[in-house]
Amino acid sequence: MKLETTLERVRAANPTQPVAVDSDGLFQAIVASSGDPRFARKRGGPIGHKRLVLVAVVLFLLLAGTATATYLVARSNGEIALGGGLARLLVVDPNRSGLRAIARCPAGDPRCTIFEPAWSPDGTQVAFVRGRFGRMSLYVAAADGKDARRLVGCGQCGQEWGGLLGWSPDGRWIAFSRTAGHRDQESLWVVAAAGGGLHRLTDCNVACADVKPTWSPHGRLLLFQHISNTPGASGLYTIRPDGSGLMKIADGEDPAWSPNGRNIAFDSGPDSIAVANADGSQVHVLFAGARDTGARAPSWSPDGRRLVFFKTAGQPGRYRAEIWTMSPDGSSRERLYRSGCCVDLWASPIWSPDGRVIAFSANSGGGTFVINADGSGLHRLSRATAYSLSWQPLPKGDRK
Amino acid sequence: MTDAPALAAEDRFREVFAHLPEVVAYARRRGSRDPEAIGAEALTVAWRKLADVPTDDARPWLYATARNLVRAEWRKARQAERGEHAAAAAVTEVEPAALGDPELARALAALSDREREALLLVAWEDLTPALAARSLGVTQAAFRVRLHRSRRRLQRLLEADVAASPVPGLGVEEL
Repeated sequence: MKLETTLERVRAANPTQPVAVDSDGLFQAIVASSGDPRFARKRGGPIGHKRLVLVAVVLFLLLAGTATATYLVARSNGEIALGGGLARLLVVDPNRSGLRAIARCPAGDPRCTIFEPAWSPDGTQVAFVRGRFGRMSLYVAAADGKDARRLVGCGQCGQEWGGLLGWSPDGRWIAFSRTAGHRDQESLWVVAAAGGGLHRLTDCNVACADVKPTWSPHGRLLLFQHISNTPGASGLYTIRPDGSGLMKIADGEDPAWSPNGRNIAFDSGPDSIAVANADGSQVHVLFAGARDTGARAPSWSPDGRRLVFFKTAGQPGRYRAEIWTMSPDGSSRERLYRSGCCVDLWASPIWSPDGRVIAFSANSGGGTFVINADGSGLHRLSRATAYSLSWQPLPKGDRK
Repeated sequence: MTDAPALAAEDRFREVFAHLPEVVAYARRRGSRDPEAIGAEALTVAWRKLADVPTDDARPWLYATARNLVRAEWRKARQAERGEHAAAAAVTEVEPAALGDPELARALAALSDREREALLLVAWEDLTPALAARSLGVTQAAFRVRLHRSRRRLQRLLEADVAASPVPGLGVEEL
């Protein structure tokens, strides 16, 4: 019996579906009860003069930060898509406030969610997965969300392992994780963004998963993460887009190509970040963290001169979120952001297409943020916490 | 005079309240003896702590609240049973509801509470791993590992059909 079969068997044994509940009067009874939420956190009396001054100063500082971030993001950067596991695909313009939904789940399916939005390299299209968990499909839509078309069903689509969608540099292909049938675990597949051309790259069929595919900048190789119970098998692999040349190149997770394609950055286990040559040689650990308080999910700046990564700090169960940058040789580390306690949901930091701003999400900070690469201008875009972020490269004709 | 903040809070709570049937179903699946009461109490807590309820998806928070309420219900029931039958102490803290698939029911019962809850949040409540992690208060990475281990362990229990008792020989695999 395969793992997928096991999960399906549990699903099928679900003893009760959501039930119709006689809630007449309950809503009003609860609302009429004591404990008005407006007063749940209020302490003390009316706001005094000193507190008003303090509020004014904080507001001024926040607005100043907003203005700085707004200035810097108004270049070739488009909108940020939030992968939030919601019934809507939300985007936010970093220069404006407010989320905008560009795609939705069907109205009659409350269990449908949308995940892993990924802008095409030219910013004219967005790919995402949609559906009930375990029975999802890969979609591509125009940048405004119109003309969404289903490319292929992908089962769990790598979601159990934080699957990502990988656009080829020419925008013609999308690599993704797919469970197809009961025999399969999460194998790696490629499909044409225009539809058709579906083909399997890996054959993961014994308690394993191939996830997080990313194309090399020249488009000749795919780098992905293989997760397996077989000793020594887990790690980072490369494969050609035609499925040939499968090769393990390193032990690690969360791989990222450098913009020139010569190096990779990755989590080199436990809570450490390393850089290696693209063939996996000359591994150089840049940040060796302690267990659970180390670094993860590195991302290269577009010019290849900096890495940004997520880090947790604190005690077990009470971690704060931190955003750091450093040079690819591990020098000049700089902490840009630290939240209060406690983070359990976040999106790895990403660079703006022009490399001047970083976006990230952390529930301990209270939502999704942008911050200038020098650490100035922290600005909250939304109170919604995302699981993944994708920043649209503004199409050349639309650049400001 | 209209109290605008109060109306805004009510509107916000109305969105949360829409999940009542799912919370009741959750409590029923976890073997609650009075799932409707659990649902009503969970929503009452949500109203009182509305500022703490996530705005993007309230279900993980509601399930976590309902889980604590079901556990409290089980503890009370267990104390009552102990009063009547002192020897009957080995009651699973929160057991899933009776299933039509007895082999699966035995296998689920043989999982640890943590393993079973991870599996059921995904399989029965249709939470994504990220949302389920939120409901359990663990990181996404930790939850994914827990879910995978749970599935592997359940798979082995089903294959061996030795789920009626704890299975020392089927240890949790490291991934």
